[in-house]
Amino acid sequence: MYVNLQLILVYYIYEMKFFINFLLIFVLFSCGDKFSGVVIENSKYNNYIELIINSYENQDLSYLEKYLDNDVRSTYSTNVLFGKRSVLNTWADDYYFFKEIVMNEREIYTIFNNDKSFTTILKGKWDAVGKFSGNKVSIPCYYKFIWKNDKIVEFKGYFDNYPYYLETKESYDEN
Amino acid sequence: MIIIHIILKQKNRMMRISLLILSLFFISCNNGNTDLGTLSKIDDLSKKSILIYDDFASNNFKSLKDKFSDDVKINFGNSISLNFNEFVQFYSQNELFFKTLKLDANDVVTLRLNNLSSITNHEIKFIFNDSEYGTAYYVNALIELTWTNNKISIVNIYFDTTLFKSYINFN
Repeated sequence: MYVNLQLILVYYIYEMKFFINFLLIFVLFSCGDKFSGVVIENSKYNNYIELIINSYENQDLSYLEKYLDNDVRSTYSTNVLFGKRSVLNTWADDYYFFKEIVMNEREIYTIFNNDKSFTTILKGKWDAVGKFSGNKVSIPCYYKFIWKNDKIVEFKGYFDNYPYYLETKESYDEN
Repeated sequence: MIIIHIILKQKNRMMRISLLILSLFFISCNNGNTDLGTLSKIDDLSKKSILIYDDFASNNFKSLKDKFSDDVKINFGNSISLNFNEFVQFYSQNELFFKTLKLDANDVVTLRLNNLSSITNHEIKFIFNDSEYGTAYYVNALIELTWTNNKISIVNIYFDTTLFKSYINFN
């Protein structure tokens, strides 16, 4: 297993706020750019994402709101949203169409990038029951959160929206 | 981490800096073993994985098969899960559509994990035209390739199939 020890060292020193600028300049200029990040075990960002998802399952978006940057950029399948409010509204829409929302089979890890940002990856299965159709849905999903100054500045979501589309259609038919 | 501990134990600031520079020089540009994983944009597996697109473009399924393990699973979200032969059949059935599909790879990175498994992620855009309406569409997607013994053993494609349902039969 080959790793860039320097980047790991920089991460720990970064966490300690110890001569950070000097070190980053030294390290990043000394070895080129073979590695763009290192995976961090037990990162605090893993815990933040756990908090966000656990509360989301309980129809509480307060942790999401707490950790989103005001100018967050979020990318979905075919659209890009800007700003905290648009992300919160999008996540809150889930509660209108679905119940018993649970993110199962979670896999979370965080990468310390060589631009000093952090990226947290969340993979899992989004399981829920449609409120209009009564259908059970299980959607494999992949989320990418980019952190700066302990706030999510960018968010990308990759998953199949088709069950959501069907539920929306069902709700229109019912109304 | 022992190095950092020694450095932090030093009371003299100049001594700390000296030790730090010295330790950095010692480990400068050396690779070694650790429990952590790394992410790289210029990994050999990233380069190898990009060649898959060339195989598709030239219908070179033999070359494609060489890159996959015998028991490869190709998962299109929660729609379908195929082995290699089923995938070739699926591709052939929808070849007209696939031939017009353009891929725009935004970001390709390989994650090498401590358990010796490796994952290459392609953040891409599927771009296609609806000739009937003269409209171009794009769909953001993430293709995740899990490597085992330098072969791709799992392909997970995370994307929204909604727009594709009119063109591809996923059943």
